[in-house]
Amino acid sequence: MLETLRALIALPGVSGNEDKVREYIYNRINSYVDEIYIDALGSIISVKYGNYRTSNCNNETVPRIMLSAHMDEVGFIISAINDDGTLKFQTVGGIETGILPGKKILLGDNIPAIIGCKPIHLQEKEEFEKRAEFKNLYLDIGTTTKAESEKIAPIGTYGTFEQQLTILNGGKISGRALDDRVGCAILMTIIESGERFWNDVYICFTTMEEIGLRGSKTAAQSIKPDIAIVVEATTCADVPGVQAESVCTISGNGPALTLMDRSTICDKSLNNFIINAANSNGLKYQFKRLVAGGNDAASIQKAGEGCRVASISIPCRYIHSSQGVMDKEDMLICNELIMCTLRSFKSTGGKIC
Amino acid sequence: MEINIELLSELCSIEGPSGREIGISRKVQEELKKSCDKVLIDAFYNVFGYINGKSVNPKTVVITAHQDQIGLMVKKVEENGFLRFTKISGIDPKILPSQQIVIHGERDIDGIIGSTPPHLAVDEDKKKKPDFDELYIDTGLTTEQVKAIIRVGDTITFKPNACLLASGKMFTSSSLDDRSCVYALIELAAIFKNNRPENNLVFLSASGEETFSIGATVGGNLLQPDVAIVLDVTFGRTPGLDVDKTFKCGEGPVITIAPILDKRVTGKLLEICNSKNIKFQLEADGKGNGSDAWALQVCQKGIPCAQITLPLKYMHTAVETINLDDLTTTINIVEEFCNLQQNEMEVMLCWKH
Amino acid sequence: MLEMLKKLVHANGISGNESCIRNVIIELLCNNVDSIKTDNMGNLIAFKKGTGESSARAKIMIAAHMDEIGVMVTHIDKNGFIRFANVGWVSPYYAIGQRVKFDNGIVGTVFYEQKVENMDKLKLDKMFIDIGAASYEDAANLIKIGDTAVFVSDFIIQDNTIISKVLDNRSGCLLSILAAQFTNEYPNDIYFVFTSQEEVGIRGAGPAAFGIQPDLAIVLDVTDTGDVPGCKPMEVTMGKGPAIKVKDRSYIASPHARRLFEKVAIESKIPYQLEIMEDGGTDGGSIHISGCGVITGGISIPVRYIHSPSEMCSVYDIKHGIELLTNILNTPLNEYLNNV
Repeated sequence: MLETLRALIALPGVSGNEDKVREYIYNRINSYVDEIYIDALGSIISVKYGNYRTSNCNNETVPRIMLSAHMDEVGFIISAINDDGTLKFQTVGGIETGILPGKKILLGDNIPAIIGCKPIHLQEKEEFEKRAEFKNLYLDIGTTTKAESEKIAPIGTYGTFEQQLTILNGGKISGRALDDRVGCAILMTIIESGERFWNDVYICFTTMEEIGLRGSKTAAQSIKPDIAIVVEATTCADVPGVQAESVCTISGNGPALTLMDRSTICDKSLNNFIINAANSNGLKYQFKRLVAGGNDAASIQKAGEGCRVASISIPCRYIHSSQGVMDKEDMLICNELIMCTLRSFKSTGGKIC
Repeated sequence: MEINIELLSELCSIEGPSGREIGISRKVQEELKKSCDKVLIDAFYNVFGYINGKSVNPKTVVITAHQDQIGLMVKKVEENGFLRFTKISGIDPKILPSQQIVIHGERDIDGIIGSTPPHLAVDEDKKKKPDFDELYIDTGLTTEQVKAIIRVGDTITFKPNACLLASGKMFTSSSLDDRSCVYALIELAAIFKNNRPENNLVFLSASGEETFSIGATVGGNLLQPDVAIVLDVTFGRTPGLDVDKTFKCGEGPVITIAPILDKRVTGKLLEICNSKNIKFQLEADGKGNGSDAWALQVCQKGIPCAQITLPLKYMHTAVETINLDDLTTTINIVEEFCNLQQNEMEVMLCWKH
Repeated sequence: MLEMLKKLVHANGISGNESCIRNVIIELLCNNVDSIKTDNMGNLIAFKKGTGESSARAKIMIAAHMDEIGVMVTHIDKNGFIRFANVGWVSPYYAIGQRVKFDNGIVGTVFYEQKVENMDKLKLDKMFIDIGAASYEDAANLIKIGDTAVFVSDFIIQDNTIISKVLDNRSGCLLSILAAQFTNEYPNDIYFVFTSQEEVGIRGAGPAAFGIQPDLAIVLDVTDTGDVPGCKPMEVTMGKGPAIKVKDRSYIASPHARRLFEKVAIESKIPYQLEIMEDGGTDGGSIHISGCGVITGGISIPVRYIHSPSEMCSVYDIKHGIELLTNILNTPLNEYLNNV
């Protein structure tokens, strides 16, 4: 799974520009699923038919399950080119712009670009005390004229942070776009395990989550699931200087279940079903303890006639910055937890009881 | 092609604020009936003009502009006959004092939004923006007269004021957002009346874009087209504004690259402009939520959308201003797109892997 | 009628956890409707078939949200004090000194860190719940992360005035239940929907409407008033009749619906007011843009001090609200809607 994650992170996939990630995932999984297509918004929708189809069970409808992870990451887009060759840009998705000055990003086909920053020696006193204003930031790709820049990085070119997957110490790994390539890696592993479950399981790799939960909305509207589990990365603030009540999740304490975030109140009975699966299989888990953020669960829950949703997330420090940090074990346990949950449906006829 | 200024002025002058588009919908219906195979108005006053394509297996293309205009609404009739009001959609209260308006009660009544004479204004007040609750409308009528004609909920719009400016190219009027593009729909329908396209065209004059996008939502869910082209306005450049968010009037309409706007369709529009030497400007937007494309994209199974916008100065005031050549060019680009063969559309809509 | 309102007010139903209030409503409705179900979002959908010919029956959806605001436990500190998040819009100022009650009956006092620098900018993360626990362990024995609590308040009737928490929106639910009980001879098919999760973002109503695809939706909720000292100018006054919605922050009522409601009110000589609610949205926001669009209107009970534990409304407004609603439901609507 780590190698899959490494491969996914190596591919740029800013919201609306997920082509390379989509191609990679599509080519890897398509021989393991019963049906697969790309929808109008570029999301991959695949399905593994359930064992109920070949069983002797009566014709009662077996709930449809949807698993979802988003392929897109936060990033940048070039919005104008200055006469001196520097580039104006906008963010795509929520990035804390205070972290940007002095960083290097990659544009288009791996073109390095520096986010310019005034040297400390030249800053006025008030300037020094404050964060740089976003509208004064620019990208330097080493050109000196507008014409040169237009050839290399025209308006509309997307950009990503550059950090690749790195193994840190103590079981921790870091990289950009862990949100939500980690979710994609977990779902790919589930598909490639070859295991079939009781219910039909629709596994979706969605687009444009970071700019408004878009791809998951249309995917859910097409699939009309009864039950959905969103696999995500989430805020983890178990770092110095944070009050105990604001920590949200702890890296290494297992995957985190969401009770409520800013956009969704997760289904209690589905959460309990997942907790039972965790307890029966000795898997550790935690709750997300801060009501913050929102993810694809919000759009899936309200699609069509509504759906029971849960969200299982890997704690990720420094989320939405140039590189996050997460615990490898949390990722592996999350994978196992979802598999155990899906297996539990066999004894309940596919339903949450 | 010359712009029919009389028709454009008329379209800008007809009442139709968000939620109360009945007046403008009738005019649009009348005009579209001259060219379309079928014209329908729904319960939300959206107008649908259908032109059937020649091809055996036509794709369906929706071209949409919004017919609603910004406006205000009577909230309370004061004891002395003055009216208190609220906004229906985004209006800057700073432009309201001293503004001529029309109240649409039992019949149309002219009025002025009152303002404090300079002699009486206190210095601090001169610097603050007015609160909506402090503003009022003076009709000159007595309380009894007002109550006989006007009630809570009646809508208020700017007094029509269309005029061609000295250059002969710049045109100013309230409601050019987005009646200028509604005009474009009517012209396009007329072009295709005698020159039947390969693919089905549906001209959607949509209600409610300034508020809740009811038109785009209904239209998208009902029609489920293969492609949608959204025509709206964007910020015209005036001194002091950001170069990446504003565009010069007279240099062509703006084609937007944004995460939610489909790359394949946008790419096709750019290809058309480049191959036919059509003047246009390019915009990159980190989100893309400024038009009905936002609502259309996520209808049902998803609709690939592209957007063409007209640079417009002084947006959401009574003196919106455009360059008529930009409007002509917009119509040209859409005409070329609609003239694509059925198989060209098919190829465009494939996901390239 | 007021006994029923009291029962509804005292049945817990925080957004996302409406089972208690749902069961109370099911009990009140089960003999008056043809079928009842709960959907995936927790909406309660009760169906009452109309008496007309199938082609003459319009499909009406009545939406009243059954959820209420409250708090959810996010952290227990080492001294047994509880930190919480809001479920729905909870004003820090209204909450100071109030009591909250958890599902297991434990009651706590809500207070704020007194060293807070600026009372103007008081936020919920500087507040806590005290259940009188001596330590973390004591508290954790009784309460766990994710537990929810609602505010505590008496239900008081004083002449024609009701003072109580959660008139938003148990008053709307009351109207819907009484309408269902009123007669079995409505000409139209009616879906009495008690929606979930309105307070956290009008979430339940959209999926419910999508499943029903009604010809007309009537949203029953509460509205602000413009009749208390220092308030924003607004026409609605408590005691002058139910309000017919013109617009709120989440939707503009369909002129067709509004005209119909006004026509019925005038013909039946029911007093009414027109409502423009500038701060605040309702289920109409999700319903009107669901599917291929729904003609949506609203009838609102004027309530003062919304979202405080001492909301206030007039019995007169409720009585006339029921009258207006039942008269609308008794109107054969199919022809009217076909002409739209």
